[in-house]
Amino acid sequence: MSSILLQVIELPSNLTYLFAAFTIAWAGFFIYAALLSRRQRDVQRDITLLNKAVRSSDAEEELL
Amino acid sequence: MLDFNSAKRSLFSYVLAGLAIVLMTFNLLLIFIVAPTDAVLGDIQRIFYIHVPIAVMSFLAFFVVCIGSIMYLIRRTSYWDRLAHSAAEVGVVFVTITLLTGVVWARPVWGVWWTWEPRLTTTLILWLIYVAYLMVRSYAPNRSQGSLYAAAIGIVGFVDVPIVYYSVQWWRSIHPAAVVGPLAESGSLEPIMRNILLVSLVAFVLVFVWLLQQKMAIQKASDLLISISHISDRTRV
Repeated sequence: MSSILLQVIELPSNLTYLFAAFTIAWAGFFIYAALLSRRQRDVQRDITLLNKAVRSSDAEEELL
Repeated sequence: MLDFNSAKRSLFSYVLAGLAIVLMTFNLLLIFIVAPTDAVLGDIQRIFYIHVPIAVMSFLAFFVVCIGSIMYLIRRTSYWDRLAHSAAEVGVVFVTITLLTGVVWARPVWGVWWTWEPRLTTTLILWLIYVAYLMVRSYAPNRSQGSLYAAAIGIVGFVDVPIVYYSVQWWRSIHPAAVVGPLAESGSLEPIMRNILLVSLVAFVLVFVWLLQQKMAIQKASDLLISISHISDRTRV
């Protein structure tokens, strides 16, 4: 009885490879999209800092 | 005040991403539910519905690199340089996934993860060429030299794309014959398989365009930041 159950629940090995291929493809795209998103946040942060520096520099010039 | 619009997600970007997600979900349903099981290879054959479109998108990316590089050498504007750079990076992602999905398919079908047969070898060379392109950009002594050297690699490196495609015909290859493009024979694919492959191609075109658009927007903002930093440094001096 247990050997029949094992046969029923055992997946053909090719499905494992199929699952692996689709996982690799989607993981690859999501990881790249996440990296792009992180780079965009970094650039946005740098632009915000630069804007602040420009504004404070302008304020100093006005005082002078 | 600096304009950040180029790096913000535009309405076009959201629409593109939405379309890509919808079509890709529909594509997955087609691949796993509608597509018939191959009589010889079984379910493992379904990898073909992502492997082929991803490979085609990598060819498209490197074609864009070639055009961008040529136009940069003619016009010397940052737009073409940015396009070539962005397409190269996205292309490397696509060709990496092509190689990995191909390797996973090969293991149960050929019994090996890798073999030095023409299609696999020329695709690996393609990957190396464009990784070298990205490295030249990163390690060049200055930005304009990096752009020039990369443009040369982008133009010459594209020669490998037709070599990859025709490798199954020019040399003895165990890789399956082409099912898209000039080498594809009519009737080589069941109509339903061909139609699902076409849907998959369109879905991956959307993914490619979205990734390229995102990368270009970030590159533009980054280039602007660098040039402003240089101006600011010169002003202080």
